[in-house]
Amino acid sequence: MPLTRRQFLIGAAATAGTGAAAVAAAEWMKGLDEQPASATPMPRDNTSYSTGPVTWTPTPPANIQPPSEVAFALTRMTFGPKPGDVERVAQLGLDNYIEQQLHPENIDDSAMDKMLEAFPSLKMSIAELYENYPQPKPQDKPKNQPTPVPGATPAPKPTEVPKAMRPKGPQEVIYELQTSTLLRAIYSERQLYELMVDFWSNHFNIYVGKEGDKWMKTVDDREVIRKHALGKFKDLLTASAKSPAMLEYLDNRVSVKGKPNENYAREIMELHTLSVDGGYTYPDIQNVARAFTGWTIVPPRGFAGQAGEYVFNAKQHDTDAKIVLGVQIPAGGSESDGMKVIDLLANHPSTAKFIALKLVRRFVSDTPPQALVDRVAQTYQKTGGDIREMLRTILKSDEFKKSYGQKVRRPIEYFAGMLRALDVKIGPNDADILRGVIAQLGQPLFQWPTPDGYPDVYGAWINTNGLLSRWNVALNLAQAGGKGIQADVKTPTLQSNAKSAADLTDFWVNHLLHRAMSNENRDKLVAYLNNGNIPFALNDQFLRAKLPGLVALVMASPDYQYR
Amino acid sequence: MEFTMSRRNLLKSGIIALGSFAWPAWMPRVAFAAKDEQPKGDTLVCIFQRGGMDGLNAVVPHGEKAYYAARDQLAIPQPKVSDAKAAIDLDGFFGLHPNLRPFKEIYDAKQLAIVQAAGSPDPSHSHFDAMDFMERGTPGEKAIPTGWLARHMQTAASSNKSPFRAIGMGAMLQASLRGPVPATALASIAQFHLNGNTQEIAKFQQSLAALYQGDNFLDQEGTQTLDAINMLAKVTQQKYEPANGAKYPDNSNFGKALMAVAQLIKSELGVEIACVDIGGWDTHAGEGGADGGELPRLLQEFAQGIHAFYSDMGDRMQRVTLVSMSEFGRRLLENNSHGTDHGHGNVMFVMGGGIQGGKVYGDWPGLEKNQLYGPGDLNVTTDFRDVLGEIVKNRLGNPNLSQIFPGYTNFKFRNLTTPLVAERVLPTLKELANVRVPMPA
Repeated sequence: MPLTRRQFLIGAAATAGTGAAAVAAAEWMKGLDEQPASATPMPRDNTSYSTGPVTWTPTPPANIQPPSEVAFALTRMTFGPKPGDVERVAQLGLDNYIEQQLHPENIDDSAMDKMLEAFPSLKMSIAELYENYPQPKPQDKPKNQPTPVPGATPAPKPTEVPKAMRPKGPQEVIYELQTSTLLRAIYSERQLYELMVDFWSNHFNIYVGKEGDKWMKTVDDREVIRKHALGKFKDLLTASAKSPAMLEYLDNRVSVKGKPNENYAREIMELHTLSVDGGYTYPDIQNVARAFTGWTIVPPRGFAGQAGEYVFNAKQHDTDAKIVLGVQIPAGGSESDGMKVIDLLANHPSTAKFIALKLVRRFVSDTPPQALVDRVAQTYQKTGGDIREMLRTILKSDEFKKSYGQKVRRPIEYFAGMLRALDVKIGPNDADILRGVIAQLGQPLFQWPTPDGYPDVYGAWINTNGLLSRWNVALNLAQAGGKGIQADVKTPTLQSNAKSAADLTDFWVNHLLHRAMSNENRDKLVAYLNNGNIPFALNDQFLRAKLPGLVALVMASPDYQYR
Repeated sequence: MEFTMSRRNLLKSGIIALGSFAWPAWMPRVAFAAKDEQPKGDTLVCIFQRGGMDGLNAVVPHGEKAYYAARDQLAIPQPKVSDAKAAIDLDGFFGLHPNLRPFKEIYDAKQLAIVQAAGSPDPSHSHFDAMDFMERGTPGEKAIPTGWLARHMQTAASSNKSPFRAIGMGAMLQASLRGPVPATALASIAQFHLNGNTQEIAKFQQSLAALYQGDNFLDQEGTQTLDAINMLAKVTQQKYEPANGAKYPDNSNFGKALMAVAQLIKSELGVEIACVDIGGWDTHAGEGGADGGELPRLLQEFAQGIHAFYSDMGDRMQRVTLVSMSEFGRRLLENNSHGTDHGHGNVMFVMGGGIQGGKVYGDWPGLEKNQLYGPGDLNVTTDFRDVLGEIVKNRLGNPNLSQIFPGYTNFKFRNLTTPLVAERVLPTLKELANVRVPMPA
């Protein structure tokens, strides 16, 4: 598909806009007291951030070897296979597995639920969160700390202060959300569901650094994203529109009659539904903003019980007539005006196309095949935006099956994938370290500042610091993980009965990659094992000296970055 | 494709017409310059003061009554020889905050210029937007995906392929460096290496180099990463001793980052651009006046760091330009928490051998009520692009300002630089290759 100049430009935005820099901002902006923008907000155009249709043409290198159909599907519709998964699913039948994963409510995840008991904030209401995790008073803040510098600050080292000793402030709410999200990615049996939670968390991105979102994002995660991740898109959109965290993040909380704030109105059309080319105009933004005036939240403090909840404030609602996308919304409306807008947006063909495009980009390719996008958009329109049905269309498609190598692992898939492949055991109380590692890899969760969410394309994630971090994380894991993360690479090695360096290489390539490497690259791994004076043998000396390097090399290889 | 010409599209098509920086990112190594052309200009060190520095307390308009009227608690006293807590006079009207004393020596040596009431014309009081606009070099417009420094690198006559051509100090890359020309994010020199069993790590690295050999983007980034690791291994073999008694501030990430930049420049690794950040300037509360607050502490760290860099560089300062910026200044009127809120105009510091220092540049807009901007802020009379554009043209030798600052045509240079005289010779590619050394066993 030839790029139009426009796509070309927009595409470059998402690619060149390595999320990284914005993340760097996020890290240190935590300390900033963000004020509302100036009194007369200027219409602003931050569209080009992410919504471009094509940003990267990933020609997988010729030497990427095809995986089995099951291994491939597991690499794309989970955070990566665990040992034994490929065989188990092959026996069950891939179609059966897909059906299971499309119905997470029927999958027993009690071990996961048990693990999550270590994170009490996940179950609290906003009022309870404010009450239990109060803002530290200024005098409680440590004095004379070195100035935090964006990026230059090493990844957070939460293990240095055990959880029990940390102050119980809003930071702890964020920590619990981040850590539990990573644990779910690694250990939940509902893998496709967790992938979709990640997908919608970025589609309806909320930056936890913004004011009350430190507390409120946890409730958005539970009541908006998780509740509707595989449901109907309109329900998800409605829940998001009324989510206190979203009302805070995109300023609709302060949007009132006579002084509408256009931030949310713009983003709901540009990023959540129609997309930038979806056929709306600036007057539509103004009218949508007016339709949502009065959608606000109860002040978080001083209103026990209801604090921080969504409320429609009729006194601040603009009741004059509006025209949105050519449709009259008559005067005298109330909350119904906003509901009407949601209805128009959710049923708009541009929304079907845009959601289809993003799903196909996530599951199939950075260059989404148009025919599949069209079919998924049709599914959207036929089923009233049923997310589960759209996924079924994708996962059963030929385009999906043929797309190996066309996606690069983002940090969360890289990290969780390695931990799953190595069958690492992590107790919830040792899990603090996960948060720091994912930040080191460049994807601190819920800390992408702009409403477009983390990029989903190759070019945004591959850079020098990112690669070095990947290599070092792979090395750390292969060398038994360090604090809190125990990876056992020795047991599977001994069970492999490898008789030669080549055997052992093939074993680990298959164990981690679930597909072959090119002979050329495989020989380079064998050469690593033979490099030095330690002859191949499954003895202590060889395993100690050479095994971690081999395992790390597989995970650090270019092959492993593609999925 | 349908192409209705909305305001937004007009902007975009205008951008496209500008051409070269809209290269797709999958062509990351497109060389715009003639082969083997060495960069002409200075090494540029860009400092971003994140959070919005209070420029009115950094470079104090001690000749303004309105300043003292608005800042009952926070004002810096008028210069007085015997008073160490008073402003340090510069020109009879402006004075340095007492904790910027290290700057006085550089100012007197005419290597430090100050631009007052500089900043972005965009009215945003949002940190994120204001920083974003400044780092892209396109106030009010977000449709341009790349940073201004990235566009400079794309359009500069240079075939420098060193992985250290552009470095961003920090774990992640500054937005100003985002773009198709690879820049290296560097959290620390000492930590940019592979971790592990030292017996094996060299062999591991050899194998990685063998694996990342293709000509696709991933393999090329891998090669660049390995090159950077190798080059830094040599740099870090010896403990770095700053020259000329330079003393970087203790316990300061800012000081460490500047020292790393100095080390990299002196190691002749082909550094053309280095970005360094210093955060914490968002002083809504407990800002402090002449001492005893956040701002005095930060200004001291800032000035000590830059002074140390200046001393450390010694004669090399002749081919180095350093410029500082902050997303916005702070409101004139102090608030009720011994602090100041987000404002508009601010101060930029420009230092280097090619700078006509010893002067406060800019048109002073005044601080009377009718002279203030928006909700009571110092107005902007020098667009930050005037300062950066002049540096790019005169000190970096890149005339392509229309591509680096697209849409901005009305440059008003303050003439604070002297044009380049001699061309610097950077190491050739071959010489750079020779810097590669095996990892210590």
